[in-house]
Amino acid sequence: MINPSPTPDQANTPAILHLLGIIDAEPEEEFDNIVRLACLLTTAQAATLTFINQDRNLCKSATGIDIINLEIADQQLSSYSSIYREPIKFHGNLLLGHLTVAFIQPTDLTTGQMEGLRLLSRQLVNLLQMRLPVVNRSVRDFYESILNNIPTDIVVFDTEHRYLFANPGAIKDEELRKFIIGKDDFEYAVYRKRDPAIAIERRAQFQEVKDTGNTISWEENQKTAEGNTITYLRRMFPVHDGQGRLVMVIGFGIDITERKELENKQHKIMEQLGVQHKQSIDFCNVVSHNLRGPLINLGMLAEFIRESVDPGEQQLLISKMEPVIDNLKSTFNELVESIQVREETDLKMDELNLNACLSETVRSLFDELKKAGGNIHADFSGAPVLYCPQKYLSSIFHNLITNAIHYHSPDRPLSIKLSTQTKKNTVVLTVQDNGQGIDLLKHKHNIFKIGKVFHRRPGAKGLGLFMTKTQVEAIGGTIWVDSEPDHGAIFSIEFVNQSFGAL
Amino acid sequence: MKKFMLIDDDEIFVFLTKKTILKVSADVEVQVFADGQQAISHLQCIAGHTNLFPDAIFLDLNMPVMDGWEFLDEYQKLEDFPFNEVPLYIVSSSISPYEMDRSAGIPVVTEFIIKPLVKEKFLEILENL
Repeated sequence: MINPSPTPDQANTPAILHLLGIIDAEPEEEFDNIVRLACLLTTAQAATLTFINQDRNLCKSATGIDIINLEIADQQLSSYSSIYREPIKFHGNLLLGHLTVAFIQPTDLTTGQMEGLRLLSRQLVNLLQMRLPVVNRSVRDFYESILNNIPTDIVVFDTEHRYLFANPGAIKDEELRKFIIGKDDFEYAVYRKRDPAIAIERRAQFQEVKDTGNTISWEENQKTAEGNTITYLRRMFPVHDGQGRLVMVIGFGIDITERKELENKQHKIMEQLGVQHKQSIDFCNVVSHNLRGPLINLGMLAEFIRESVDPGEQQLLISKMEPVIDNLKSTFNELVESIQVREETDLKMDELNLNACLSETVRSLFDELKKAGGNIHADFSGAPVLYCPQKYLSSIFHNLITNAIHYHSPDRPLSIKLSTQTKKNTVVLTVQDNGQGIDLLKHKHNIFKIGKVFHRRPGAKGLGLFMTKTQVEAIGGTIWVDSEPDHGAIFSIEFVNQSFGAL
Repeated sequence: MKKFMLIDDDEIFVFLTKKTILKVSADVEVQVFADGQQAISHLQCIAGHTNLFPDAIFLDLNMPVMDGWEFLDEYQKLEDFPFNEVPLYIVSSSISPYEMDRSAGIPVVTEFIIKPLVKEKFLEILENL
């Protein structure tokens, strides 16, 4: 809070005189002139201007008389025959002092002269009031230092979008700040040899504020010299006078980078939570289908066995239990594994030779590959080494190659091509097959989802690609697919942070 | 003879459910479809022949190629939708409230039955026909 500027009242009369710079000041020409005018007007021999200073009158100015002691000037005038004192009243009622004219011979003032004295007295008051801003200089300094030091950009425009004021937050350089007053953004752009695009944008915003009388606000990004992005929240609003006329437009901007970063973080977290929520619903559905399903079957089988009296039928029913139990076991294991992947946070990155790892997978799938007439071609020259947990890469290879085998086209021998490319510090692994492909128009959003199966194949549970995606994402990577029905599929996986090996 | 469409990819469940149905009534034909796509194709074929219409449809949700939800989308889009009188029961192993809520919003779904389809339930359905 600022202390309000002193309001003159009887109690602090001397104070206001001090503040007005009257007391203890050197003689001032403007007061001397008024005293001389009073003399000329009334043809008096002497005139004084005195102000009340505590209980005495202090002479500020005198003419026609040598003032020996400023505080007893009135006494010096007592030898004159006629004396007229015109009070000097501030705000109509506050007596500040007197304008006095003195005559050696007894003299009457004409009404005109008296009126003239009154006018001079009023003029004196005006003169004093003019000094008020001087009084308020400390207040002005105070406001100015706020405007100049506040970590906010503040600019004020006249009604034609010319700058009336810019604080150092808006324009740091003092020279530029002086330059811009009275000019507009276009002139500024020319002066600084800058693209006028911003000036055009600002003019449109200004026009909107001027036309609608509304406040507008927007967010704006700026790059610093260091390449960081700073986000500003900017506002422009009109200021109207009592009659509703536009007086000026104020623009200000505050740095909301930190808030923006938090907002972005929060947004990302919300997104992640949304995805996780969706995943956990999917997961529950799959658990409910893939685990509850077989359990229900087992329950029904048990009931039929109990009710059956035919030993042959009983045997048939018992034989049907085995695949259900196997199914249950493998589903259970896969679900547990996928939960474990998501729980694993401290993953150890192994330095893996892609060829060696692939060979191992191919060995384990040898029989199935042979059955499908499969042929694998790998070219890892683009990036022979990958940083990834060993078991993930094995699992990724295993899932993608198993998929290619399961969904190979009956019309042609299976061919699988694998390759790697290095991009900056990432490695992209692609696995391309010539199989049945997937209709991405229909299944684009479901392809990596848990429990989604796109072809008629007994035993398919829709866990493979879900698992692969889970593993890829656990190490910060991404997986995507390009495919057309009957034209095979290309799975691409981007592994991040691959450059540290080269350092 | 009553005709029932059973749309489910789980062979053992289909085997057991057929057995349950036939235990309740011998005068019943169970037509089995392993996914939504096959069922839709069949329904398109018979759309003009009311004598071939099923008396009820039992639909699983989780199936390959075209799952139960996708089936319901396609089913409702069938031309001049002729199956208004045919009750459709979702028969799912799901106990997810989300799926139940979702099915409640689909007008062609008569009821959501949690697997298994027991004798008593089938009898009730049969009596309501």
